[in-house]
Amino acid sequence: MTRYTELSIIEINKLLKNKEIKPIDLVLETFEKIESSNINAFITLNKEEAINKAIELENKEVDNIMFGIPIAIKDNIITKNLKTTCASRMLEDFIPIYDATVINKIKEKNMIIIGKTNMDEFAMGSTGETSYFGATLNPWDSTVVPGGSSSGSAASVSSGLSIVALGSDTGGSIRQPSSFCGVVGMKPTYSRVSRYGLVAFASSLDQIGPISRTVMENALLLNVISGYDENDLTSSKKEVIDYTRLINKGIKGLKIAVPNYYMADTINSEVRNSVRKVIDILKDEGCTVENIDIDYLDYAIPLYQVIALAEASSNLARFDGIRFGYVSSNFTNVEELYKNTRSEGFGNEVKRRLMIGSYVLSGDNAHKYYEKALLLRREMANALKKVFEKYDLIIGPTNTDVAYPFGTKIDDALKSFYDDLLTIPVNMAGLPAMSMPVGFKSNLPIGLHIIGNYFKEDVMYQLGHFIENKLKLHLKPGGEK
Amino acid sequence: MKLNEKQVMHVADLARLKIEEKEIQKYQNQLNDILTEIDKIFNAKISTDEILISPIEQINCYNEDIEKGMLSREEIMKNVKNTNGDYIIVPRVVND
Amino acid sequence: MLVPTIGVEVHVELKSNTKVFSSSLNAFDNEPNKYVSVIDLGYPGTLPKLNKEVINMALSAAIALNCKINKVMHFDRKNYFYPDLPKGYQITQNKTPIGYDGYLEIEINGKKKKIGIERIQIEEDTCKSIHVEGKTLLNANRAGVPLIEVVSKPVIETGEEAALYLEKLREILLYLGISDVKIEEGSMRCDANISLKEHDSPEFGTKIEIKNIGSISHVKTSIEYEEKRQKELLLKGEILKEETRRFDEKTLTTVLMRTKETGNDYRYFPEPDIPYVVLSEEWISEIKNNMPILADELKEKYRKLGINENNIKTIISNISLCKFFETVVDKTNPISAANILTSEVLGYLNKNYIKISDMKLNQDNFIKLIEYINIGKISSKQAKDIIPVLIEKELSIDQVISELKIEQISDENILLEIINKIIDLNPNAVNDFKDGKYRAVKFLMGQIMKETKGQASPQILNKLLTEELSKR
Repeated sequence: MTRYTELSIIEINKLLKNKEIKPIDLVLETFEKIESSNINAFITLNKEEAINKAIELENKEVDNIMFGIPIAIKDNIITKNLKTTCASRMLEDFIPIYDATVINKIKEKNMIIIGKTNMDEFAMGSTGETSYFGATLNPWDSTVVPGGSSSGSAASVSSGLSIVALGSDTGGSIRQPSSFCGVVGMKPTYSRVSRYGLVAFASSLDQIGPISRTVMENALLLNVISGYDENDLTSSKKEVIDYTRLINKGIKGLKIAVPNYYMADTINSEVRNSVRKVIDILKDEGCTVENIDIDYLDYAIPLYQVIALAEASSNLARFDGIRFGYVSSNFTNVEELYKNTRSEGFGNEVKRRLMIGSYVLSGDNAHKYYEKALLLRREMANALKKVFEKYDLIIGPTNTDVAYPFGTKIDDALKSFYDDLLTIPVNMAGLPAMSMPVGFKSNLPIGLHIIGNYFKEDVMYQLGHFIENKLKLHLKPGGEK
Repeated sequence: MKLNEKQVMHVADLARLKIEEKEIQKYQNQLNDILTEIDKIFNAKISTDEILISPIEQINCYNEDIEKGMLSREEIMKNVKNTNGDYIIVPRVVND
Repeated sequence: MLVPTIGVEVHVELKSNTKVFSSSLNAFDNEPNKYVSVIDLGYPGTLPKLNKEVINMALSAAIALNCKINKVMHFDRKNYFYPDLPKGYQITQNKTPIGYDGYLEIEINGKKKKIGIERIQIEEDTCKSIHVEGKTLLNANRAGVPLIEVVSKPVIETGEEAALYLEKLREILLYLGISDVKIEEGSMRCDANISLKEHDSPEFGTKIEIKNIGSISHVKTSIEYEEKRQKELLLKGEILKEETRRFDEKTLTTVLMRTKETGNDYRYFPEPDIPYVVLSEEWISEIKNNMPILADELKEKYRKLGINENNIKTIISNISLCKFFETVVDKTNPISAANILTSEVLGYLNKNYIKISDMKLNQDNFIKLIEYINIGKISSKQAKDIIPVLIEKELSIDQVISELKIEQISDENILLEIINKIIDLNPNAVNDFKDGKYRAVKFLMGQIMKETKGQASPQILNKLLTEELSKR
């Protein structure tokens, strides 16, 4: 049997246009795969709706490249009438009454939503293990974590359960699981994609982005979801470009920086070797690649802990058992309603982070910690911006290592943050960054981190596509390397 | 900055979380691990006096004073567990 | 000697069409949960919008209250848990209030005094709560309604000053047209802070807050009561604790609500969901240039026109009346217009519960009415019959006059006949007149008016009667 969903989007589009296949073929194949998969990538499936949508599309003209393409959505993106849990007991039975802006955009292009993917609870974690619905397994090795927090989105694309997926990235939550699962994940420039309908973790850091099998398909999905939205005051009014426009253009002359911090001893040597191999290829191709120092990068984790957790403590205050979500059955007054609901509804990682967030804003700490952090954030952003005065791109590894066994970090409050060591600075500055597979350590994928200047996703895709073509990795879990 | 047990209970209270007696120690250790990490920001040399609230540089974003879509009563109450159909109900918050 | 330090905080609802951070209607309705969007409910994933009109309104208030303007402003989150606060935080302005360091001027015992204003900030209102047996019912119509909070400096010295400050503030906001400022309907809410200290002490005493006082006169009463209560306790040597009290309107005393054991921990931080608002010079001057004439300026104008203080006060205190008056004042005799408007017109409206916006009396009829009275075409007494008809019916004044058949008798021959008839019937009055008693004329005028059913033209009658009496 032909696996249509394993063809490229461009090929699928041709078949759909020529009426050689129908959207329903893609949908049925997708659910057949999902139902025989055991990686726990989905929290909620949208099978009936997806089938109805596919049948409805049979009478419509194939008017765009994403028409009829199945897509998986991270479960912290609000979908009207489709359960949205944030992988938390708090929202176990939450049926939203509106659609996120990105969902409207996906529906406008007649893409087909197949389900809501598993994740770390409220996007807090980097292994997928904090999900109330159990961890997602890494398609490459079921004993190691898929990364997080967009664990289900990355794993579902990696294992072919969905052609593309949406994730969200606050400190690395798209890039880190993409790296661990061997797929392409983009965190766009902050403000490029509307956050309206993304359940906020840290408002000034969060960004929705595409996860895909290839660089080209990543760009195609970014084309769909980008743009100004009057419902998100922080969304950019800058015109959206075609993100595929530089793909296949030569990369000769690109100036690329490699931060020394990203190639230090703290990074696994096999990971560094993979990156070095890429650097050699780029040099051969006529790119300038230089090692540089960037100030303040080493403050990423403590800075993130202050800013992300403070914002989170405020953003998650709305889960109080009154208007939506879980309600404890054990209360006699409002204070008990709050405390029991929140204590029973949130998992440990979330509780820990909410406490830290409350603490750093409490009393004099608002000045001592928070204001200091906002100044440091300015310094870090300036340091990164400065790099782009001279260079087009920054590259390095996405993570310090490849995926590690389940349980390694679950009880260590601190180590879970260390996975984001290299990814956080980008969120602090609001820059775009992506991860793409560039090699393996034993059988586990290694991710290359490509960081671009503001709104220069097209250049990142240009480079990524070139590398992808050069390496021609076999990226099917369980297949040949 | 190290938190003592009382302070742990206080931040739990601020976040409206209930901590069982037997969990205090665990949370105290974990919070203090994180706070030790956070204290590293005090080593950073800061030369700017400009804070960064959000990475965007856009200013003056607003909407016009025009009504756009409100919810039906049914939609409002859809996820409310305690309602009489007209109001959202909570335990009485004043005693007088 | 113990002296009080008083500060007043006022929350005022702005009457924009839609809410401040969402596009739901900003309207009052008896039906609960009617003007509500996912944003007002704090639904997961929602983000605030920002209503430009609210910024304009708050800016006009800041300008009218002589404030300095924070030209680069952002919003802040004030974090606390309460059932009426859907998001668990209120969007407000902590660090960069739109206006700061302003003042308004009150007049006390004939002297002008400036009351400093510390800050004006934009923020959102909460759900309305109704407390019933064992339950609190939440209505989200009010959630997200725009408020400005106006905080006075702690420079108010008496309850009376506080009341004058509030009256003045209310008047300014009313004339700006940005709020209904009705305390009884909750569109203006007042809290007062009072502390007592030795007059020569540099340090303030313990601050006691009285929340949500139901009227301006109660602000005065509650402050005076609180001052006395605290004084007595302090003189007994008691140590006061910071607390929040409410004013009991039945006993006219303040009652403890809660003590503030530890300061509130609101965990303020800048709101990342709303970009900076930069108020350019052009923006500020546009608001300035389009500001309506405020009450003080109108008072000055009316004084210059010779209108008496009582009438000025009546007109200014009723903004709809004042707006009507403004449409006629430059086209007629302002003094007569003020007199008729504040007595006959307002009297009839009040007696019959008619709103100015509902009355049929238009400015053309009103101007003619004043003219007819002044030239003696109709008497004041006749005016009293005409005005109700003009208020109730859509008729021109000339139609009303002919309908009521109250054209005046100005024909001298007819009047002379009646005058002489009355004089003949009252010889005593004639004697009184000869003795130089003016009341005789008044008496005879009254008799003639009775005879003519009030239709005699008073001016002509007066002239003819005096002439006729002199002939006797």
